[in-house]
Amino acid sequence: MRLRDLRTGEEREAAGTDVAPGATAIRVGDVAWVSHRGETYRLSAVPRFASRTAPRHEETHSLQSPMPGRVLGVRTAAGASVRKGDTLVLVEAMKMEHAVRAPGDGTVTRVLVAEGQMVGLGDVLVEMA
Amino acid sequence: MISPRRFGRVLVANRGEIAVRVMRACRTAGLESVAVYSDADRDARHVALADAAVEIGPAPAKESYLSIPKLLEAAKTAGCDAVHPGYGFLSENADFARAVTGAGLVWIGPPADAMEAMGSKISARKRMKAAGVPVVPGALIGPFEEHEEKISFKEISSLGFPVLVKASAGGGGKGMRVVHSPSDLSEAISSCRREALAAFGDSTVYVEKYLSAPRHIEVQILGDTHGNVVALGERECSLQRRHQKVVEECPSPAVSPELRARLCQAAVEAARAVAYVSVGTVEFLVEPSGAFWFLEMNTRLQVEHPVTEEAFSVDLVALQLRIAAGERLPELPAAPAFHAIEARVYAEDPDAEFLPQAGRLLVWIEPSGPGVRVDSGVISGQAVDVHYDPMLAKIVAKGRTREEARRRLVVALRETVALGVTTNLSWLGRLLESDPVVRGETHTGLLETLLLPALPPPPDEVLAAAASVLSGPACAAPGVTKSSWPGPFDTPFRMGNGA
Repeated sequence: MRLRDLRTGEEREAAGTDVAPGATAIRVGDVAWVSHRGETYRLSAVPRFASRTAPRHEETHSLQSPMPGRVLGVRTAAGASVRKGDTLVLVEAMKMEHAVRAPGDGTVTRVLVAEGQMVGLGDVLVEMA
Repeated sequence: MISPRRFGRVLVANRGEIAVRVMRACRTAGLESVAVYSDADRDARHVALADAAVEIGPAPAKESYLSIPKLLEAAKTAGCDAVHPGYGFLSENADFARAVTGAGLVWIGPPADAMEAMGSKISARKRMKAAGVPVVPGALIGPFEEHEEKISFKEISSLGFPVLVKASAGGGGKGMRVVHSPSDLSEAISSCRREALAAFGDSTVYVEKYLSAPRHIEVQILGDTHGNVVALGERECSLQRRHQKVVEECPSPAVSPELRARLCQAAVEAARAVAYVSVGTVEFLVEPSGAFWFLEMNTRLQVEHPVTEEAFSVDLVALQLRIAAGERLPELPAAPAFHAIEARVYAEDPDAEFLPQAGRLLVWIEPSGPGVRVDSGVISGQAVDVHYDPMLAKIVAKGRTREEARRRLVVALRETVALGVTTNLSWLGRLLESDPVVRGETHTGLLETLLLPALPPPPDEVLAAAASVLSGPACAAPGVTKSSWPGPFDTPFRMGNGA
């Protein structure tokens, strides 16, 4: 099985499937959580013959929620021109706010969330080109 | 034992580890304790450990843990005669203190007037200035309560950037922001106000000059209703990320006996100035030269109180209960017999700007051993909810020397297992092994620049273990659910451990 280390994104091949002495592992969804010698690892399986997702439009960005939480505010709309660093969406969790900012100059093509909505980690909030 | 004539049944108006901590002290003192809980906390540890529990509303804190009417109603329903607020939530809210005493209940905390005078950073700084205690240079107090148009950007700019924008009503770094340029000021103030309102029910903020490399050192204060005020040493709290403390220790490796005497004297004067009663903390910024400035006073029990308890061998919550019962302060140790260090375990991702994480904490194993103490509010299988503070536990180690305490803490952190939610455990372990921390040479800006060694890639044993569980069924849907955790034996759960 080919595995991806979710901390670093690096991929490696697992030699076997035995749980070694001293390791504690559980599976949650598609993620394996492993505790071993004082460290914690998160890994997921890399599909053997993954059909590559259809190539996206050039320079399209999907801006994802950096954490699970609530959408505090949407500061843009579809069709809006934005500059690099502009705040597009504010997400709040555990009383902390995080601003999702434009990674570059461009145009917002879609806004997928509304104020007050709950979002999960990695949910797409805004698409821009 | 607390005199039963004063109070006998305490409503603990909080959740998580501090609710558990207060309940322990109540039970030890022969008092009953009553938990309150929101919808999201039905299965929480503090609910299970109380003598009784009252549901107070939906998950958002504003509708539950921050609702004064609901808390008073809960106290009445459960037959309580006293209220302990813990830290955070309403612990520094004078209106809550007045409502509690107004309802004929004992408030286990400082008098509302003292809370008002010192709890608000703005009035505290005015008072300290008047009393001759130095406050952070260039501090500017802005009338931000009502309309943003009143903010004088010119005055703020004259301080020179960067400046610090803070919530006036509470600590914990909630809402706090460093602003590097005038163009970012407006948004920083607006979002600080929203966070302050959500966290403390008060949107007042203030702006002060940002010092770049001071230490954060605070003094523990105790006052009784007979006019006695004493200082119980200092805590070093310079290790902060996102302006929130992560590692604290007692005593500070940087405080000489002479500086300690000056800090403690200033703290006692600050407390006396407002006729302070109960436990409290006076925070200072200390420069390498030994010059120090009053930062704020926290009119409540502090998150990091265990390091003082371990170093001095005292129980601060027990003392708080005795003070509230009208007893005189007992004789307290003049100096700490031990060194103690605390690490805060947070559900957060150190690789992603320490953003809070949520999910289900499927496996949680706490450390133990000589000199190790764990104050935690979680159990295996519990949901870590997005609505509340992401701190899971405080791991504290003590030793005869600082180095012994530090080594014990590193061992304890590596012994701790948390699976299902990303935590800062590994990061804390590497931080405590880093040169500046080993040498005790820290300041509040250190974590912005300190580079910790990267983790090694997963070894073969880890890859094999991951492959093993990934070829079996999943044990639970990720994310936060409200349903109770059915336990590992009622569900397609796969866990390898050894074998």
